[in-house]
Amino acid sequence: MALIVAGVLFVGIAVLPVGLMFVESLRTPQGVSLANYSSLLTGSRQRVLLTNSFLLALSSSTLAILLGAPLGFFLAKTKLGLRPWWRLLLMTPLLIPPYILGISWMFSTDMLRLLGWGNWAGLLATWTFSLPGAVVILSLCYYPIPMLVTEAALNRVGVRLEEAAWLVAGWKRTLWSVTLPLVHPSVAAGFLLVFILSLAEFSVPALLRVRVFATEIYTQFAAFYDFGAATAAASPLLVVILIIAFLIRWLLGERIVSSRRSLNSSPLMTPSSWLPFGKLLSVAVLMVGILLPIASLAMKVDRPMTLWRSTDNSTAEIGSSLALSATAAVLAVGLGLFLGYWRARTNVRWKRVADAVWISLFALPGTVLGIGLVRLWNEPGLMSFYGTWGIVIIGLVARFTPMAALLLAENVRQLSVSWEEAALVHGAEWWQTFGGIVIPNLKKGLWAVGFLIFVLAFGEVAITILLIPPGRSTLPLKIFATIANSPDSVLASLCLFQTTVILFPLFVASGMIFRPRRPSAKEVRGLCL
Amino acid sequence: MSPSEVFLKLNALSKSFNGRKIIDCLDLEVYAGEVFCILGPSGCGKTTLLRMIAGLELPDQGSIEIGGKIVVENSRTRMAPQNRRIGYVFQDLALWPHLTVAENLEFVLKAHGISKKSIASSVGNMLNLVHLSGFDDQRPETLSGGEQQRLAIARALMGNPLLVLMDEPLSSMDSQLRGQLRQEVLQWIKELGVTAVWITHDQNEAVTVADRMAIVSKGCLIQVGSPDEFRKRLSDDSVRQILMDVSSNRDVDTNWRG
Repeated sequence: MALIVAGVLFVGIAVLPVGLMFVESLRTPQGVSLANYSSLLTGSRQRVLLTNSFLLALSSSTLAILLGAPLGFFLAKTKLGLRPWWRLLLMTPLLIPPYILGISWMFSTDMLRLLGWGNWAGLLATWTFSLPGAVVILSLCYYPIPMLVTEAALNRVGVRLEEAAWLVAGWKRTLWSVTLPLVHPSVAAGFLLVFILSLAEFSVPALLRVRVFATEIYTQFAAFYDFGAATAAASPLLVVILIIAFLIRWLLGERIVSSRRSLNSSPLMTPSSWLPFGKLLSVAVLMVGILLPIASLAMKVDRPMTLWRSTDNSTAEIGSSLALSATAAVLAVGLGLFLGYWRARTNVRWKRVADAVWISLFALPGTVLGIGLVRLWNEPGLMSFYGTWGIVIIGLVARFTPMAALLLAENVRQLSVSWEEAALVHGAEWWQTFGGIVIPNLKKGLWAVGFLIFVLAFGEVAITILLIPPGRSTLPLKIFATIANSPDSVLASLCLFQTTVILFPLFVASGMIFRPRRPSAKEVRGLCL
Repeated sequence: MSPSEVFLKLNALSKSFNGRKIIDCLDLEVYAGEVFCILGPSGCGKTTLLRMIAGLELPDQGSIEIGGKIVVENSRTRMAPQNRRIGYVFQDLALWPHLTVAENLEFVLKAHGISKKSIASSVGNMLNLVHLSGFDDQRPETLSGGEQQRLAIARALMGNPLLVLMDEPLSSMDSQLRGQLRQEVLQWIKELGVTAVWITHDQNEAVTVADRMAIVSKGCLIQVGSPDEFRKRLSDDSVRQILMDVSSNRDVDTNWRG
């Protein structure tokens, strides 16, 4: 019953608005027609959008895979000390909102000049506000996806398979003939995931004034309030995203986000001479992707007082953002838990469709979902709710529940089914089994997914910009408004503050998790007995 | 219920997976209070049979009767697994890793709605019975293999089950420990007076613990009887062949010839 309620809720808040958009796009004053679509596909303006969107997605995903796949290999297959810390540092750009990275790149020209690299600064200034600029920023944001996918895929390869080949063929041939062929579907899936995320990205193209479909949808809706045209502009994106989502599902099968290391033995290790290359690449990526942007922001802030004053003037926005993100994280994890549990334990055939729908909804531009929600909720009878924070929370929950469901489904799949069966056979009702066995064993996963959603919701722009009640704002929206209206130091302060809110708890929590654990007195007693 | 009464009855039970018949029109009767062993080679459908009795799998056809009540009939459940009052020792033990030894046992009693006061004493008594006193606060992962096995059996015996199902409960132990624990488990079952279905692929284990036993092969029941009756029928080629399969291609234990 609980699973059915969760399913109905999810369809109501996430699937229905998108479905409604499609229906609306077919309606014109003359009745049902494809007029919105024909105008979209025939105009030269649309061809520019199509070319830009495609080039942005293809180039970003190619560059991201060129950076991410070797780094994933480095993490999985070299004798690396402090591996969890390297992984954490390298995945940090994924957690920082892309527009923060975009803004910091805008400021980095000054930083380069300060370092005496005037030529580089000039080059950077000319291409930042262009398609190549957006490509570099998006690939620096998304390279952790192929990195994590590659590492997970390499860890999943049965070590016995590698060892059997190693004995007769040496490690190079083993790597080339056994290991890499086994991981290439996952690497391809990582490439496609970055492709659709870049295709749907709104904030960076909007910031750098690169015209793509994701920004066009917003323009059609916000500037012209043309719902049909906005929906029609979203349709090619939706179709491409849906096709690629099915392709990802097909490539990865049941291992969509699995990261379990295969048992039995240590992984096939590459020679130690490879380690310096891996470290060099990692440090270079970290320098360009994290250090330079943060240093550029810090340099623009200039004085600590500016940071203090800017954040002090934005307490309402910061408070709203924190409250919204925390609420959205709790609700999305709650809903995602039931959906993920259903996905992990069901035998129905269309679970593959569920995976593809979740991937599509996760990759869908926030603007598309936002417009769908506006269409659904902006009705005379619902105005008392529509004009409140509630609608923003619904938007954020709809946006992030698919991701929570996908991640938690994998967590549930790692729990032994026999634990639940044992509870059931020994007299426990379903809710007792769920509350007493499933949830306690998922505790770490629930916290991790909750934190991830909190971070992503904290930086979300595309949905909040459409659903925010009049006279209210959030920190990301204030940052966007500040770009045009305030001094750079204020903008840099807000960006730096947002980055700190994301990274500080992440590193503190990681410090506690990665610390070598001493066995408790109880455990010591247990071992001695 | 008197020992001569049928407690568990399987009527024309069938089950297929992906078109492959796992259980084929199987009839079986187990009497109240007896220890009934099912012997068979790997993949013959022993575990599926146990899971159907517990309610974890639905049969395609046939019915199961426990204590005079039909619990499932022609792939329709009439009684949910949690209401069948069954204790189950899983092959992988399925001990809950986030709960301590005592909490693993308490969970069963709480699920049955037993008061807190009674829970503490019942858990204490059971831990005494299975020689796990003093391990109350430990997590299952800190126990040895034998201790984990005892805990899984203790959990199956908690809450006064009417029927205990054991899926190769001693399979992961060395032969010396297995022999010792085998006698202990038998003693606990007899002390509590429950009916038990015990799956094994060890013929010596079967003849030692069973009041009656059956051989299953390819989803069908080949022979049912007491260990003595089996010894007498060892000249039957089909039974002899299956026992050889069961014993992992080793010849039948000559001690059986009696």
